[in-house]
Amino acid sequence: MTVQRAMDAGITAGPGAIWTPRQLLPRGLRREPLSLWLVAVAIAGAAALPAVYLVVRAADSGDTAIDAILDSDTAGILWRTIQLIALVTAGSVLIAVPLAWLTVRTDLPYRRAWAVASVLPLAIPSYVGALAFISAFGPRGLVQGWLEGPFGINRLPDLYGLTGAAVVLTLLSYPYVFLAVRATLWRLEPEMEEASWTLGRSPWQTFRRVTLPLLYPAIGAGALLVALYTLSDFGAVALLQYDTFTRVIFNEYNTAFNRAGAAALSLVLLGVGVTLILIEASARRRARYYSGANAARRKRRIVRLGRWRWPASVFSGAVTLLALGVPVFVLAYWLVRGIDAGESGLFDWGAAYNSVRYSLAAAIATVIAAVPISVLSVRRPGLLSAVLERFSYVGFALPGIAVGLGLVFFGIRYATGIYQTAYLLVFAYVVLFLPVAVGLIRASLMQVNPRMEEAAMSLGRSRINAFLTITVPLVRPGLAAAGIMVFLLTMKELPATLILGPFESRTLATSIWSAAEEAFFARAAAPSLLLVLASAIPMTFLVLRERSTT
Amino acid sequence: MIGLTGRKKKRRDGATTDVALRCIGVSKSFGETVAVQDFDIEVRRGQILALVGPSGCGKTTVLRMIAGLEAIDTGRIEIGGKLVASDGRHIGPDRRSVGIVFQDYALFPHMTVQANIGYGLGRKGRAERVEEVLALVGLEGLGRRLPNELSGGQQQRVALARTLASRPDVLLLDEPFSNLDAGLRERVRAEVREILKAAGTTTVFVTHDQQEALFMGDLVGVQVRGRIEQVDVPERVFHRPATSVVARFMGTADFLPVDTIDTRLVTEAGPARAVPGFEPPEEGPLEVMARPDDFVLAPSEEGQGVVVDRVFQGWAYTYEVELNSGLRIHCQMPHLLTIEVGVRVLVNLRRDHPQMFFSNGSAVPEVPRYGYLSDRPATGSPGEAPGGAV
Repeated sequence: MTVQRAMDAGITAGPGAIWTPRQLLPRGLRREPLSLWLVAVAIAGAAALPAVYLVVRAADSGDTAIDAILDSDTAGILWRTIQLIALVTAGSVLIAVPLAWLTVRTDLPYRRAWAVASVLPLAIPSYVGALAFISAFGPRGLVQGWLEGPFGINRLPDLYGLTGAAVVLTLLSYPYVFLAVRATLWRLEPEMEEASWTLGRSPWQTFRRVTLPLLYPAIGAGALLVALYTLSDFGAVALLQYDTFTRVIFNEYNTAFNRAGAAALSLVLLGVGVTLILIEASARRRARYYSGANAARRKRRIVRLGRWRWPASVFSGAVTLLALGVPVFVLAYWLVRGIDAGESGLFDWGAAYNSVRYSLAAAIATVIAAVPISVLSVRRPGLLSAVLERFSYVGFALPGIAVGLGLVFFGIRYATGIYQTAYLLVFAYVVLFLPVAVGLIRASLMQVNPRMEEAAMSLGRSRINAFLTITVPLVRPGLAAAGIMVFLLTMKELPATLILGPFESRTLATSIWSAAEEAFFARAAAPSLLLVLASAIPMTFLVLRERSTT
Repeated sequence: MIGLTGRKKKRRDGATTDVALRCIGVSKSFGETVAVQDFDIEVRRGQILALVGPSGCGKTTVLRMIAGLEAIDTGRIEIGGKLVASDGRHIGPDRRSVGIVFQDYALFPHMTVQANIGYGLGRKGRAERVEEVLALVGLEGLGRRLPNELSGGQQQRVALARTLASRPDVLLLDEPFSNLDAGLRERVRAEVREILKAAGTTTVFVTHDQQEALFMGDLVGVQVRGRIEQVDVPERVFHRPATSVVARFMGTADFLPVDTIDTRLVTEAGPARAVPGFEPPEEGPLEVMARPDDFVLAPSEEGQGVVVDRVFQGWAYTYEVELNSGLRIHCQMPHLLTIEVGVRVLVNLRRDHPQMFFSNGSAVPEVPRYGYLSDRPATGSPGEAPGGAV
């Protein structure tokens, strides 16, 4: 027995014996256990469920579904959606790239504070942002009220429609590009730019021909997130009355009770999402850059702005003022007014309790579901693990409204027991946010040298024991980050919650929504502020931590 | 420093353009840390200067100051007779005509080999020059590849080609072979030396490897803690070190205390031999330097040392011997003779060549730190082929 174990561990290799590294491993280590694969397959299958039931539902209705696509001005909706995506993505890149460069590579005053402030708009749900903008800049809004008296202006440019939706969504989603570009700027090897200078190129030529092209992959990745965010957004486009897919689908389902039509349009929506992902993936394949292995060796070069400091500060300030200042100010204004007027029921504690409950459950369930897929895709790269990973990405391309609808069809037909309960809702959250958790956990798993786990096993620990005592503690920050992210995203999630939420069980998101629909600003203010604050605190923590590790 | 400025005045009327790079009294501190202090150097056109020193001695900082990537605190730097840096004057790297090859090459990953090499060139004649340089570094036909499709040695040559393409007055190489594995390194450095000589490029080459410096350099400069200890042709730096620091850095060296009895120089390993006319210093201790091959070793019961360690090196053994005084010395002996550890041995200094003597760390008689300057204006320094770009 002992001899066998020693043999397995390669310890008793006699003179002249040649062991390949693979043979040196204990036997059990040479393959991942079958059970892990089965669990991962089950999770990936479950993640694909909503998409599958959308297809099933649309196929069942046959001609009705095709008619729905042909009748309901699908081309118009598609065109409006694409216009919005193009504007928001372009606007985000134009704001985020200069902002990222200013906060990483220049002596912009208070650049750390600007960096944090530039990320925080992510904490604002789109329906809260839209609500604040309507209240501030809409007809009979706060700004117009101020201008009417002294200046006699009684008409502001129309906020509703494409312009308003594009502005609001750009201000709320540019941080995705900002974060990606910033991370790459930190990692960029200073030698790359120095080489360009010593080859006789000016700083501006160097930026245009070396630095900027090296940022393209990060810009692409960030832009993809912005585009998918815009595609899946329901709250802002609904409040600003701009008919994209999500708004039309919701109306078909909710007011016209046209379920086949809603399912058919959801499929088109899924198609757009997949197309966006494919475009980004093919762009990335062409750019097979490597990331600098030994960056951070030398302190990065800081560009002195000189007299350009003032326009740069004004730019950063304007972005923060619009994206962060306006919503926070408007919400605080309405809260104070509501309290002054002595209105009751400003704050719904039951809704807050439900939000926290559902979000906590979603965070835990999503992280647990993400671990097997992440482990297999990092440790066993191959066709099957790649397919599993792709399946888990369904929530990435499928907006919340479509996931909600898919699960409604599934629930009504096969799972009436859990239909309209919190279980199905939490399941929807898991499907939606699994990609986020897998991404974060994968990234931290890749930092862990698999040899460490193997060393633990060669010291006599079992596979599970080695994983729990070595790998889990090392990836704990990644697990925590994934849990926090899912928690935040769930707190903000609106369309799936509207469709799947149990009767009479309000959450912060749904109570803000019903107040906003009736333009009852004072009632929306308190839950909105709470939601923003609850998201902003952990988000600040995540941003600060990211900087200390890069 | 004194020697250099004096020379410069004398040479004012003469051919100053012959000097491709001159640094005078250059210093640089980062906060409290002094990185480079009073750095002086003069490199003639077409020469290769190998700057060697332990890590952290400031040699990379010297390169970055020459390139214009760091500003200097004091002193002056001239390239091709043109002042590029002094107190309050700093010409940017893009207007200096220096090329630098970084330790990890810094190839632009989003450009092909051709685009990388042509990056610093004007539009006119770019394609021809790229082809020319590709041929020079032996990479014909690989122009359309991306950097990450090349081996380490090939990437190295692309980095070199990119820098050579615009015919810089001075080429700077920062530990260029440290990312290559040992076998490849020897081959690549021979190739690089050949390429540099063929291009006739003035080069400053930084390394921490003494063997590499001795092999690559027409001149070897030894830098320790921010200061130049000695610059000279490789043979002299190795055999006639100006200070005991240089002697130790360039290879194993033992120092034996010397007693002067009449005119005889006596050490624990027998008499030492000095150059004719040697005069010991009036006061202060005197030591003789011995390399491992300066000793003869023989097993003997009457010996004054005991073998404490033996390292087999294939062609020879290196013995560590503890003398009666407690001093340990290193001797290299052919592998034909094998002495076991613990055996008592008789150790003697070889008498077939004069040895180097040191007092308080400096050579006696004094060895000039910039010995190569006194070779001028004799025709050319060793192994040099000035002028003639490719």
